[in-house]
Amino acid sequence: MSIFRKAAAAPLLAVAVTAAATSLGAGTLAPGSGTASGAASPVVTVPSAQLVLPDFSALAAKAADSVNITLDGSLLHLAAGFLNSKDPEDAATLEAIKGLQGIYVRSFTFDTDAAYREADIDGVRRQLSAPGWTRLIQTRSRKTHADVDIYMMTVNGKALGLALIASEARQFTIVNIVGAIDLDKLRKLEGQFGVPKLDLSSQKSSGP
Amino acid sequence: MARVAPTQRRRATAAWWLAAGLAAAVLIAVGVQSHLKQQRDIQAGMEARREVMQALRVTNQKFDLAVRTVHEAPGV
Repeated sequence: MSIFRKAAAAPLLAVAVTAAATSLGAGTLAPGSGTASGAASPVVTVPSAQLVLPDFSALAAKAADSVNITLDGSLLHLAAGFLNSKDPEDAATLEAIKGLQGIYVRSFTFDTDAAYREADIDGVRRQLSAPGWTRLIQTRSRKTHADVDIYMMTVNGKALGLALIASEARQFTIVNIVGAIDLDKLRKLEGQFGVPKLDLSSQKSSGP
Repeated sequence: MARVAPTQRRRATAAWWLAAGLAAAVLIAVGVQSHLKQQRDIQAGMEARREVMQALRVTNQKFDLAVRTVHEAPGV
């Protein structure tokens, strides 16, 4: 009887572990391609920089403007095919998305203040406290009520992704870029989209 | 016997035209289908391109917001 119980429980356990790994955003690498190797560890688990973004449909319904962009690797590849490498803006974009596996953006703008709660973003913030994520920049502005947190996931000195949470009085934005992100390449885009040059070389933190 | 031969010839000609018509219809259908798929792929590609541009624009705007806040902070 107990054998049958064990046999029945085994797949359930496997599903639970898989679900937990998925919810934590973990990925797997084949032997030899990961950070560790050897016969003792057939599958190496490395953290994934892809965040599990909540369903913000309730907020989207309330928002005056919303941006919901989900670009996985195949869509990025498709988009790359429609970028003209001879055009400076397209060429910079091509460089920026090279090596990326996904870009996910959720941005909501409201007509009134306090239209969203910090709790709406807490689920995302919790994921960023997982190992591998490091906060690069944290800014708090009392004047504009704009808080920006920029996180980078690095494993063995290699950037695996970036997350950005910007909360303002009437807007909040979450950006998750998955893949070998190069901030220098992103900086090359500055000016291309009418955005002034930034100074990201100094990783500063301001606020209370 | 003399009457059968023209009838058979007419039937063979009709069958040939029918086959040719069907083949042409299939070719046109395949061509239209291929064209529509190509149009859909182009639309999807252009939409993906627009979304990439918009995503990077939003990202850079928020980078800019962070850096402006840093520069506005007292003592910086």
